[in-house]
Amino acid sequence: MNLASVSRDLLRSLPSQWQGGLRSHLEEGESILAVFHPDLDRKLWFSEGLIVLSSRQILSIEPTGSDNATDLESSKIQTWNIADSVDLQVHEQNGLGTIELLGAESRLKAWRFSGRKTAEARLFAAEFAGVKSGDSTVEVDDSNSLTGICPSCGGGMREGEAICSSCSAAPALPPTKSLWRLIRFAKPRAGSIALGFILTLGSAAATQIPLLLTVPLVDNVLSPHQNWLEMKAAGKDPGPAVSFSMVPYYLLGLILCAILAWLLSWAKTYVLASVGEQISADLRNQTYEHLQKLSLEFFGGKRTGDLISRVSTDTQRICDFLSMQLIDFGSDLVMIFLTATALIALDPWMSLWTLLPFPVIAWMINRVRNRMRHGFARGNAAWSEMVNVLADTIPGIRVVKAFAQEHREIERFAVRNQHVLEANNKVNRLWATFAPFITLITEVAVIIIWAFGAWQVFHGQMKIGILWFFIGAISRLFGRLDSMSRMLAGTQRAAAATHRMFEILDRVPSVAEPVKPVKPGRVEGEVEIKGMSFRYGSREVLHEINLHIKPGEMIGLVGPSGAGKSTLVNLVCRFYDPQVGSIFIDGHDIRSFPVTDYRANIGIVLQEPFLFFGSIAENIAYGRPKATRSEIIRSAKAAKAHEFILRLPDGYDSIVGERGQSLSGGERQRISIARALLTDPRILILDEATSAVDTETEREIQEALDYLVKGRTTIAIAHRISTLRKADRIVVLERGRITETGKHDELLRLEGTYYRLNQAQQQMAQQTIEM
Amino acid sequence: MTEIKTTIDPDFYVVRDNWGHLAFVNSAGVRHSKVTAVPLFPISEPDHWVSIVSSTGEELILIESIDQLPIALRTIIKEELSFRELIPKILTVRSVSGTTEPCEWIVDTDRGLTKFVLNNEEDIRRLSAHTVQIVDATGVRFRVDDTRKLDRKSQQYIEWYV
Repeated sequence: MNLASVSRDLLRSLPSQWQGGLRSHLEEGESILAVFHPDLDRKLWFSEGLIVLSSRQILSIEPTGSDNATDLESSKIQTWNIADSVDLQVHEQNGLGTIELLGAESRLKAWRFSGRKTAEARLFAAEFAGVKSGDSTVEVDDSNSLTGICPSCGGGMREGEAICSSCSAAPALPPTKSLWRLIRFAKPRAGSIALGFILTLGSAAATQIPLLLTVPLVDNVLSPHQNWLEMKAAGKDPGPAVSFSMVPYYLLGLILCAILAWLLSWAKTYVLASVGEQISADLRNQTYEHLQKLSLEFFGGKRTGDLISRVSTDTQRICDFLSMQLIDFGSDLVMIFLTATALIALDPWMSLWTLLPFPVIAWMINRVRNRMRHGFARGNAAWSEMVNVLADTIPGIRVVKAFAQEHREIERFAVRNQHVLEANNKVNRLWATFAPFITLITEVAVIIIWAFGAWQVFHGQMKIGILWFFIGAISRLFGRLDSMSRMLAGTQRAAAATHRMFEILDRVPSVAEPVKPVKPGRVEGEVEIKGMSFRYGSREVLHEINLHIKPGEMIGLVGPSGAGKSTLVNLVCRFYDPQVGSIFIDGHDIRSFPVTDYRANIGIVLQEPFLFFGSIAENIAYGRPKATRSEIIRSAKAAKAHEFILRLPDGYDSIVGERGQSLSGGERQRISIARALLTDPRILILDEATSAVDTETEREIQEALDYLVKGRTTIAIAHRISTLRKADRIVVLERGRITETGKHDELLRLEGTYYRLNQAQQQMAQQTIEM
Repeated sequence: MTEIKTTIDPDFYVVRDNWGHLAFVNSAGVRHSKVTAVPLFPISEPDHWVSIVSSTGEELILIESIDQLPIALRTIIKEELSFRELIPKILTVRSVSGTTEPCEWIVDTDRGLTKFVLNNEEDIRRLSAHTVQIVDATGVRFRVDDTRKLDRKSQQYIEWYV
């Protein structure tokens, strides 16, 4: 693509009132290289401005939102020669960004923009840097530069992503449509569902037949007989007496229908209830499976209680809906259809009158529906908030008790519980006005039929049996409708729950699986980090990290907390992906490996070892469940855990609690070291493995760790420099940048940060001894 | 007039240099350039407890109340604070594109009309009884200082969520 055409395209993409003004400032042959629209003015009001980078100068139209100067045409164009400017810097913090044009002795100009424009601003600055360095051979390929911008929010985006991670939730469907999406889960159970539906039809029909049998009973037997009796009483010729012989058959039919209806409805309830249960079990499994695949980033932003309630309570709601309410809904629908057909066949005019209130009810349902659903969504959210309190305080119970804050926590729980109550009450109020209204309409409908029917019977246009049938049918029909409108509540409740569920299922893991995976197998362990930067939200945590680690080398990572040490190892573990730069293992970008295959090569020992509920053996074998007992014991011995395990009453079968409560910090740590040893990883991460324990315990763990790191590429984060004495190289990380690298002695000679750190720690140790 | 009464005479001053940065000069006349003003309670008490921090992250002075400073100093610090972060205050919610997230909100703020995308219902949360914070899809924060002061329609939009 040649420069001139890019330039013309960029100019043409601007609002027309700016084009003329800009053209007058451009010389012949001067091309536009980049355009940025700052969206805030100098008082931080939202308004659109313009910065244009050409091959010779920077032109700008000031955003002027707060000055009420909406006439953009008259806005003055300011220009700066590129020759006079030194640098163009982009800063962003707390959602507010600044582009600064710096001259030799002062700042020439500053523009403000909101956080959503940061990525674009950085691209613009990069273009400037390209022009400034005189690298005119850089071809401005705008198709390429635009891949970095998320189409949905304008934020930064990684290569190969269709949408940036902050927008990665797929556009959600309307909640009621979420219910239809459950079909995906219903498909494997189509057979059972069909059977259930046939049974539903049958049982609906069976309950309808008795009503039809009453018509001949009244019109052919009872009414004529009554007439006959009256005629006889009046002394007239009553004609032939009505035969009574059919009555037992009608009664038998009624009884048989009742039994049949009972049998069929029993079968359908059983079949459909079990299908509903199965579907929701599938749903729970899928949600949990998906949850496990999501990156740490997702869990960082969610609260445990909320996730638990989504997987448990919300699926239960869906199950209730599928197994109970949906059946009723189906059979109600069939009933209404059958009844309506029978009515129309018997008397179309009369049916028309009968069905008159239906549209009114449909309209009302539609009105109430949305408000109900939102009410239920609020109710569910309030419920998760309440569960969050539990998930917060039960693991933290020691802190609560130690500070004697039980009352406050009880209060906090009560407040959340009150919110649940209020949210549900809101729905109940709505429901309380809605449901009786449906009943009222039903009553009115029955009265209409009485009026219409009485008139027709009086004029001899209708037999009493038919009227009787209509009255019976209509009461049932509206009775059904009533229960259907009740169902409405259940449907909306389930719709809200389904929506919450799909919010998880629709979340695309931000650590994406490669399209063409390279099997890593067992790696050598050469780690190379190239130009890697990582931003967490708007905060830059790591800045252009370059680091090469040889196979088997041990790197000690030191630096003040918040320097980005943990982020760095998280990136190596691929818990996240960096926005800029990449990590290579044995020369392959780690993004080209399937995530789980790659992680199989990594062992990690954390500061706070997490033991799952289960036996010690199970916990050691967590990374390799098929390990033999002798392997488990061997790694426990190597991790110096064997001796204390021996002393436990059940040895390796001792159950450790949710957080391994019965073991000391050092003991738990040794179990987690044994866990890492057993997987025999090529790359080992020690994230402050010895920070949480006392010096004595540290010594014990250190021995285990020394054994563990042997022959493995190791990145060890440590606060205490003493724990890094075996490290081949020390890397000092400060404010997201590597400031010092080298051997222990080399760094001491530098007398920089590492030296100071070492000094301080030695003094501390000295003081401890003196005490 | 109350301002003057409570004004204390500070033993430091702050100026804005050619580069647009703040420079701090302490009582001994030592100059620190590129300092920043950091509010310690940006939500609960934005005008009190402001720390002046050097470029290396050291606190140079802690100001308990900005309003007690002489007016020139107060203006410059308030200006610096306003450039520290962007949290538009929502005055009215004009429209919300749908009842499900992601949805687009068009709002009037104290900084003019704008729109943003809400990704998640959890991104709207209560900071206190009547203060609500909304974080949009790109991480820009919006705030409603007092939900009771919004018009009925805007209140309804927000009450869907909190």
